[in-house]
Amino acid sequence: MIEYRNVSKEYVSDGSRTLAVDEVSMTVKEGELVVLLGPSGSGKTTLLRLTNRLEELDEGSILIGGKDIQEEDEIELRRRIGYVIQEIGLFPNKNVAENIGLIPGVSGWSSERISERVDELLEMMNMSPERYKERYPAHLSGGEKQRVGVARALAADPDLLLMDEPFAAIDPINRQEIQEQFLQLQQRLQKTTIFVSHDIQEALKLADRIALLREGELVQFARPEGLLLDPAGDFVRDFVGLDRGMKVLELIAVKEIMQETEGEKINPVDGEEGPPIKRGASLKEALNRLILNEEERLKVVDEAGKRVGSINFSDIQSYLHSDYRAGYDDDFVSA
Amino acid sequence: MILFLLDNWQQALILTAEHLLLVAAATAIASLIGIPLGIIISDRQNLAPLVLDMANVLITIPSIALFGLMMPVLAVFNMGLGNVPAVVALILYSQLPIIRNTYTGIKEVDPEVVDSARGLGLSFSEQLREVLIPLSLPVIIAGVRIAVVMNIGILTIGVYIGSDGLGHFIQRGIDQAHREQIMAGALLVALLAILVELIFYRLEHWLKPEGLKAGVEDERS
Repeated sequence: MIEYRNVSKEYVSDGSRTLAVDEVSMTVKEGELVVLLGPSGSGKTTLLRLTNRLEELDEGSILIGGKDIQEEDEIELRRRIGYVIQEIGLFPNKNVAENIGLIPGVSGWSSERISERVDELLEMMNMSPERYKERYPAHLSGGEKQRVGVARALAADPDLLLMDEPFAAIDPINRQEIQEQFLQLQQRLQKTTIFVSHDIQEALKLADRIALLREGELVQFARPEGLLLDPAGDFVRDFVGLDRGMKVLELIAVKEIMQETEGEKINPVDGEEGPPIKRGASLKEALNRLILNEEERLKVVDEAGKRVGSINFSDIQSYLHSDYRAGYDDDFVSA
Repeated sequence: MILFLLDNWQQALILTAEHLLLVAAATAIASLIGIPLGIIISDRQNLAPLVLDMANVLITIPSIALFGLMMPVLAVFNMGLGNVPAVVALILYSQLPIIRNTYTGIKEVDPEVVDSARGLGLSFSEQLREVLIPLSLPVIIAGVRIAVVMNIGILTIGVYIGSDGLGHFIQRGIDQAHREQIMAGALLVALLAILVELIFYRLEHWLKPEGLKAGVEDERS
């Protein structure tokens, strides 16, 4: 768990002071992926860099696992925090195995243990150890470099992962894929992660919760649906875009709002004529079907094809209108 | 000139060896001072202008003047003449190329690489050992090369304060109006400089980190 308590950071340049981070308070839960989102100059990267003391805070405190980071040796602190940046910063003089094994190495691991760990991490990244271990960063594609960067950050099994726009430099097509892979990895590892992004799509896709920042201030800290359905003010509304209702549809699975089948009822409800939809499908897909085929109601099935419920247009509409607010009382909305 | 060298090949060999030895000693000591200084000012930016300016001033002093300035100082230790003042002068002259290249070499390491090295928890000495020095080594060695080649030339003047080396051919040739001998001395100094330069070029390439060599980059495309 990471607690930010009234964290402020000020920059002084040419005599003028700028508050890069302005009294930010928030708590990141164990295993959670929080995206720090905001336009450039919103202080998101500074907030990230305060967390591993690449920048020193001026006021407030940051606690990781209950321990104040100011009271810890900064080298020790950074070694238990994984760090990935946009340009990755792989060491060009070291091959893939040496890059990944560096922190375990300086932390005193035995060479056998390092070598096992390198293989394990490369396999986790879907990269064959035999093929990639000996390669130098100059040999790797952008996506491969990024995966090695993530593997390097995870090498010493840190408590926390900090990622500063890690996928921003990758072309859009590969970015989708690497985001997908990362999401799967994250679901498996459940590593507490703070992730900086300026891309709303990326944030919606990856985040458990999003912290939206503006000029150093935390404007809203909420789950992706919360940000879209209940934006705290005009800034958030503008930032998430006019199509926020449509964006929500991508985030929510049919199974979450469908009318569940009671008992072993096999017979279709009225209007259920078309082919069934999978319960894991998004509301966007369901809505698309409802509109495109003029179907009244869709039959929802599980992975095995068994009927589990049904969904119609008004189910979706009423969810978006009212049901949202009740469920997420842990959302923090600043004034 | 060739005849002169053939007739005096033993002396030519001795003078060349002396010359090389003095330059090597001076540059080695200069590197032991200049490289750490360059590293320190890359970490403490506020010291950089001062140190570089001082090294800059040193290199602008004409060698004859520097010898003259040092004589009374070193005479206190009874070392005003001979090889010692010559080597000291070479050490001072070497500081600018060595410090400047070390400083620039480290500063030019990709800031993203330095940021991840710091962010992953490497101490400054670990950053130096694992990343900064390996990546800037070719530039540092280039600084040493410039110093060596410069020193080979400057040492020829050291003969006027009694140092050893190839300057003897030139000085004696001038005294005796013996053109052959002047040219022989000049030729040997020039050849020595070229040879050392070539050796250092090889060294720079050889010390370049494996991951940065041209072949590695080409393989991808």
